[in-house]
Amino acid sequence: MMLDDAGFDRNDKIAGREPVQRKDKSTEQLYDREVPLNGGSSHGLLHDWLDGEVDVMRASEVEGKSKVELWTRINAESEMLRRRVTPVGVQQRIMASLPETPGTASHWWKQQITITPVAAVAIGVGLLAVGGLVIEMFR
Amino acid sequence: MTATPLQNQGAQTVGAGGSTPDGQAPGIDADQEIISKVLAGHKDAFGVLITRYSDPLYRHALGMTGSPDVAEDILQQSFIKAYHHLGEVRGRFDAWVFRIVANSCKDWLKNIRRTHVSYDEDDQPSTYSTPEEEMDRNELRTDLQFALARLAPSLREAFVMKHVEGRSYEEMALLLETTVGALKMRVHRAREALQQLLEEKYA
Repeated sequence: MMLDDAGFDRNDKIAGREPVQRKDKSTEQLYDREVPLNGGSSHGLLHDWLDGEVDVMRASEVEGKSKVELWTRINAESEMLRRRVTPVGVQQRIMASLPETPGTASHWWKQQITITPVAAVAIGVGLLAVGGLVIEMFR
Repeated sequence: MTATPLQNQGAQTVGAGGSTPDGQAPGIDADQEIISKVLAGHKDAFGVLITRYSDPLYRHALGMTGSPDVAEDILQQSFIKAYHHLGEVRGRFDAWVFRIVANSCKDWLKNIRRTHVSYDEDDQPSTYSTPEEEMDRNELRTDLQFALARLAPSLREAFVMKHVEGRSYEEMALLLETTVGALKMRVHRAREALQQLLEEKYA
């Protein structure tokens, strides 16, 4: 859930409703707000290490061995993913699906319109009808 | 010549489009030359751009979606879209095409909520030394993907760019058109969320 729950308690009291059971914060999807985290400073050195600003020994001393080991494993997994390459044949498939002329897509009002004889007659009849209605309105 | 942050890099990647005959990395000027060629009717020249940028873009799509099949589709659709709108490129091609891929990934995430994904859906070779090690790391991989899927798309994007793609905050800021400070905040939030989700089992 990505909505802010501000005002929940207040509304419950006003309406006399049963208080809504809140979900455990740890199971909710995290909010996407760029604001300082509560208690985030305790992980400062861990981030510094992960950003390459301090060495592993220092991070391990302050943050604890277990956290550093966890992130070492996550980093190893990330390294594996970094070696992934585009599967064979995808580049050829993209090239094969390209039209001969690039950059042809443009806004609809710039595109050429083809009108068939039937469409031209229909448009003409429509315009006559609209014109007739307008004339009737001003009589 | 200015190198771009999105080129296929080093020997780890497939495709030789990452360097010029003089051994230097191609850059923005080289991209512009290729774009001019393509717009002049040389369709095959677009293949150079695909070779040059497909690997990092594929990794981004894979990191964001967790599915090799979806990542391939997003990559293909993005390059086709880029080709159709090539005449509208203003500035850096690599940043422009990256945004097409990044937006496609976010759209996909908005439409499909995944609870479990696996990177072993395709046939890329395993590099584990023993079956036990493979089992152990597969478990972490699955749990990491499960945890990543629970992050908001912008946090996931920041984590993938920093940890999986190995980008600097400056490169990320250039590609996402935001500030280094905002991206640091997103990466920190993503790490703390992942740690919270994984440390009970692993730490």
